[in-house]
Amino acid sequence: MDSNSDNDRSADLSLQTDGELFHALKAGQPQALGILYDRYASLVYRLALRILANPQEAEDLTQEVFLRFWHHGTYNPTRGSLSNFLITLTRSRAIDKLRSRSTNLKFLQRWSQMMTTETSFPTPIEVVSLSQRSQQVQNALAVLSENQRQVLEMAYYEGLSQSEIAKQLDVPLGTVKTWARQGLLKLRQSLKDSIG
Amino acid sequence: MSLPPESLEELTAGYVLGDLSSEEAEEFGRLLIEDPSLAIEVNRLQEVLGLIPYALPEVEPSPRLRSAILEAAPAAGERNQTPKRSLLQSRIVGGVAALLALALGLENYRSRQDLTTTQARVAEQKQLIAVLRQDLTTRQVQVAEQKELIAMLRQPSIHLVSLEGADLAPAASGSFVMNPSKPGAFLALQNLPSLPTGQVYQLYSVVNDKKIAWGQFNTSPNGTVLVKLPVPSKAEVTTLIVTLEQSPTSTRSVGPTVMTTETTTEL
Repeated sequence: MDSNSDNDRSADLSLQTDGELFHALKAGQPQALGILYDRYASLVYRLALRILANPQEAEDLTQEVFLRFWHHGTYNPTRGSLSNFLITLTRSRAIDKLRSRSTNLKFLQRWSQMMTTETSFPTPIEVVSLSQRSQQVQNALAVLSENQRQVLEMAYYEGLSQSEIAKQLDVPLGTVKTWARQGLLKLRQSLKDSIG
Repeated sequence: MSLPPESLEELTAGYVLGDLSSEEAEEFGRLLIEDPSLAIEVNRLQEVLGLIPYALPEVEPSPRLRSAILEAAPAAGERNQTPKRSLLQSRIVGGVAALLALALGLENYRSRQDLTTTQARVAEQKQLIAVLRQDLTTRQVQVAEQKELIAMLRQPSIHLVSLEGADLAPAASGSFVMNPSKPGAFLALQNLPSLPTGQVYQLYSVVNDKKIAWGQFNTSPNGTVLVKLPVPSKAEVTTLIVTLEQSPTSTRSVGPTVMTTETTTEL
């Protein structure tokens, strides 16, 4: 086994676009799955972890998302970014699992156990782009008002409806709707270069 | 038709966030028809929403997860398209498929960005508008039923049958979905004519020329149906028909057939 040519091949693949990698994956090349994993596993995992607040469950969900993606390949590149596809899939599976749990109290207990940070294992290329994007989005969220950000995050990470949010925050529904919508529009303004 | 751009933007954001009231939903539907480029904005906002998780703390899963996944994926050349999944995609027809896909949240719809278009792109936009409109209308139907249907569609062994319109309703199409181990079946139909009072649609299954009655239903104002029906005892899903009946129904004769299953069933 010539490890140099193996490295060359995977070096090439890791420079390909998501679309190219997806085609390679559909053609049955498992190296493509590896590269896509290196690119997006952290994102999928952190979203699953944020919603489920349990590392083991988050890892299980990450595995489910990537294997589902490998087996079914329902992503259509002309219809949106691969990032958004994976994120949407992850979020909807995670919210489903969240809803099937018995109480909010368990969630809060799990979350408080989770506050220590995990170690990370960066590899060169995707650290640059993933980190850059993370920073951009953090900056964009910082521009929002506290209310706008809070409402968006409650809706996104906890799967709460806007009436549930209004009840929890004890504000009128109309106010919650305005905060959420204005928040999303402000994000769009800040991030317009990231979405093309 | 002009709305101040700020309120149009807000309405679009509301659609993407899923918080439109029924009046807002109706208005948004109208706006979509008038201005197809709204669909592009919808897709852009959906992408923005999908960027939010990037701001989460940058944690990684354990290294063993990578090897677990790559080992579980079959070796090169053996990657399979699970038959159930591709059958599901080929059997669901037109707008109903898009409707369910939107509900599943698995796909982003977006129209191409270049509006100086060929006919194909215009047609795609029209379809997108039809899909978004149908999505809005469906939100006015019971949300609980949708969620249940979604959960059912995620099960590995479901029974899925397509129906198409017969002479009385040639444009009608739809799907029947059932999980054999659970009670109830779902019927999702579109382009069925609305009925005057005194008439109703009914679902029958046909076994050896014998018709077994399932439930009765009517359409929403724009011709769609999404209902959950109890499964009659001893029912088999072979051929299904939808008939037009007088209400209250005469128990003797069966009314004219409005829709039937395609000649081959699967799953």
